[in-house]
Amino acid sequence: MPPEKINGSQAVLLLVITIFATVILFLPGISASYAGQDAWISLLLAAAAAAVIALTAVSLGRRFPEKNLFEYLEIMLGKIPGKLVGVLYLCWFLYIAAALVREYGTFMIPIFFRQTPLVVLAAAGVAATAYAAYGGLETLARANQLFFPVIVGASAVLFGLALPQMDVVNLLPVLEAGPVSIIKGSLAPLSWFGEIFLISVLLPYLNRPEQARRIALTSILIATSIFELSVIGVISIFGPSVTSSYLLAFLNGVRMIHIANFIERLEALLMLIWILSAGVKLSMFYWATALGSAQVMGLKDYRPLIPPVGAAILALSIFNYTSVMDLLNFTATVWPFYALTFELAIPLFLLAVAAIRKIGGKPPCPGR
Amino acid sequence: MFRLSRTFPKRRQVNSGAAGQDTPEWQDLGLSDSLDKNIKMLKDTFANCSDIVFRQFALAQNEDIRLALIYTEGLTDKNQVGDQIMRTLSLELPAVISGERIKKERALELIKQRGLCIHKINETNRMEKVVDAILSGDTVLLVDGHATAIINGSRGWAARAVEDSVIDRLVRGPREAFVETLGTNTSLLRRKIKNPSLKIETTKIGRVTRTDVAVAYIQGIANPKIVEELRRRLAKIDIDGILESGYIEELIEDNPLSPFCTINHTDRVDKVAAFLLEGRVAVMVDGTPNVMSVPALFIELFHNPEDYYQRYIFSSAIRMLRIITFFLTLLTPALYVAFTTYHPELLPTSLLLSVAGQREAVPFPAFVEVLIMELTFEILREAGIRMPQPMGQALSIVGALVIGEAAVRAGMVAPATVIVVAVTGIASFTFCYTATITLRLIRFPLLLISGTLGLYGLGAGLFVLTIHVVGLRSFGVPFLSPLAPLSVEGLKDTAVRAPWWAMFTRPALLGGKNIQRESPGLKPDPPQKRRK
Repeated sequence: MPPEKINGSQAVLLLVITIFATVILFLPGISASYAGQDAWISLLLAAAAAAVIALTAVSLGRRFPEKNLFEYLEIMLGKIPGKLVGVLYLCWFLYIAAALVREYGTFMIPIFFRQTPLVVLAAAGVAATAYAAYGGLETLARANQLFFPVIVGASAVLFGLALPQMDVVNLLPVLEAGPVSIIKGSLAPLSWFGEIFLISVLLPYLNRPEQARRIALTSILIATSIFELSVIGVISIFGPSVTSSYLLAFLNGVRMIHIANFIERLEALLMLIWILSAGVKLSMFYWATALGSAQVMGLKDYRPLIPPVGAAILALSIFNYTSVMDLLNFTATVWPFYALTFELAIPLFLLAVAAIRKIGGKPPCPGR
Repeated sequence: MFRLSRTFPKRRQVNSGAAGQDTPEWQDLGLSDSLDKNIKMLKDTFANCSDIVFRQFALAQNEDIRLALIYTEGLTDKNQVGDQIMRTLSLELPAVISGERIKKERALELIKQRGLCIHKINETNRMEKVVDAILSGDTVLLVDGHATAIINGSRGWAARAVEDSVIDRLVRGPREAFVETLGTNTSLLRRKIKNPSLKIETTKIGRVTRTDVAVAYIQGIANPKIVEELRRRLAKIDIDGILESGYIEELIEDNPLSPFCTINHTDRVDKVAAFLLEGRVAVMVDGTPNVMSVPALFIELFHNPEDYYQRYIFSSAIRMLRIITFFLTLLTPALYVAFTTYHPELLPTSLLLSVAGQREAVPFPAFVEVLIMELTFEILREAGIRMPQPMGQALSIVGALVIGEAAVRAGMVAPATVIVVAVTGIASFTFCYTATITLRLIRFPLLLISGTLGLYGLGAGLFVLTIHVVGLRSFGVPFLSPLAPLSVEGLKDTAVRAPWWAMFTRPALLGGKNIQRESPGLKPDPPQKRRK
């Protein structure tokens, strides 16, 4: 297998879409239910905290150039404990992938496919992304360069068309919710932002690893700008209380678009955004899971593991939640702590271990 | 690790060695200095070949210096053989050297120096070369007492004249297209690029057909690695015959399993010249007007030579139109099926009512309806290409009236379906023919998946398609560059064409070192601005 390399902008786009896919589904609802019209402040807080996660991941990775998460876990913690933590991370990756499949499946069925069983949609999604995971990171990064303008362009069109429905007064008064609620509202977005931790698997593939820090921060910056616009847009259409009552506030926002009796029902455009971004994110985690499993098991090539990993994602996506309410409840209450353990707690611990045991070279800083 | 190859070992390759049984015995022989022996050898080689002519005569008045001319009838220019070889050797040479006795040893030198009025002469002492020359239309002159044959360039056969291009049509620009003769094709190319850096390397491929294959590139502009890679892939070919460039195409392409063609082919001279100037390498095969060039890029499927001759604003608009028609061809049937079957609620109300009203009486589901009509259209299209020309009118009457009008009147298909199929069909003709046949094929899986999973399936299908296309390479160059991987400078010649004064560089991803195309500051400005 030739060594795959991606450049800085490809990495940024991949990371942005990885965050985007989940956030675009849930975001304003969950944050607004805590922080009301101040959900956008929660989002800013989340972004700031996500920067810490990203920097932790980067400084961990920079100690072990050319090695990804699963490889340096073994160096750092020893062979067996390293593999164990690696397996934990794999479970988490698998969970993210499965949850994504379930979320999209569950939400698409009542909107677009009233009679299609969930497993059919999930299987089609997993099959399509299996092909992407098989193609490898370089292919995915290039495909994403094509998807990104489509996704962002379609979002911008929707935002533009929804402008007549917006009323910025809905955002007032600022800071009504109080700091605690705002922080509570930022937990869920933080856990999604924190999936930027995926960069610890991407690092060895960067053609200029010294850009890693800039890549991580740029991704967060771009993602935050997109989300801020969307959150402000949705809240100023519906106001905080209605927003928090919607499962899929963006969808309802899109449904508000009525222009000239012809430009209406643009859900198809939203579906395009969903499919492409979810496809990229799922492919990323699918690929990372297969790659990580191969490394934990000591295989040279990850490709033979693609079918079993796909089967696991598919099965888990059906079993992991009993209902939509279960999914929402889990996502709002349990998920942030589950995710933050892997995104922040363990990496910080690892960083401390590395510093104390003095393993891993100081990151080389050419040109600085 | 799983290893399929271990469980299912590969079948042994058939005769993996080279040439083998097809190599004739004359391959490695040299000529002898006896004319009779040489002629016997050639006659044995050409036994039962009634088109090979052996003509023996004597030099001037010297009966002892016997000569033999061997050529293939119909492949040589009769006037040249008669006037400029035989006439000069037997009649005109004596006038020049009257009375002088010619020594046998000097005969060859004398013939070469003064005896032949032929523009191109080669010498050889290998049987292989002699046989090749005879079969290629050259005339071979053997002189008694010399183990050397003189090969006279006297090729001339019935060939099609240079005509208008059939594949790429345009309004403004040169009309001439390549023909079946390699020599004519290289000359057409040379007339466009009058520079010694234009290299044309010829090899023979095909054990039986011994077809001339020329590799053309511009030294200093083309990436030497790509030239070398092409030479390597061509050298690997070991096949009995090459009858068309398609044989070679399938043997050297990067992605043999993909429906996408990652090698350009065209019969336009100006297009190939432009490709060479961008640093690409062309492969010309004797016997076909189709010239291939590598590396190919996806975006070129939407390009036409005329884009570079028209004013850039108009060209850019036309290119965007072609990109729209690309998506129309690919998606219209699939979208129609997905919307009418799965997502009627996503259509604006008035449009929905109109379509639903038409489809009410139709006995088929939308998917079957569209599939039938698409297949019918494909049949018509294929019939249009294959049928004898005088039948054209009958086909258009049957096609247009019976299938379009009558099917709708009879309530078999909805008028909207006919519109969808017609739009798809016409749109598919606006861009490069290679793309057309690929798209015709891909349309059907997309139609099938949107008939089973609606828009979601279509989205998933497009996702997979994109992943597939970005993974393709053409001689090491990503097929989708300069879009992915992105190259901003390269974008000047993609969906838009930048004016010539702004396209400073050649496509950098092709990998050539010398990428400067023009000097900066060529943008014309009106005279009054120049005043200080």
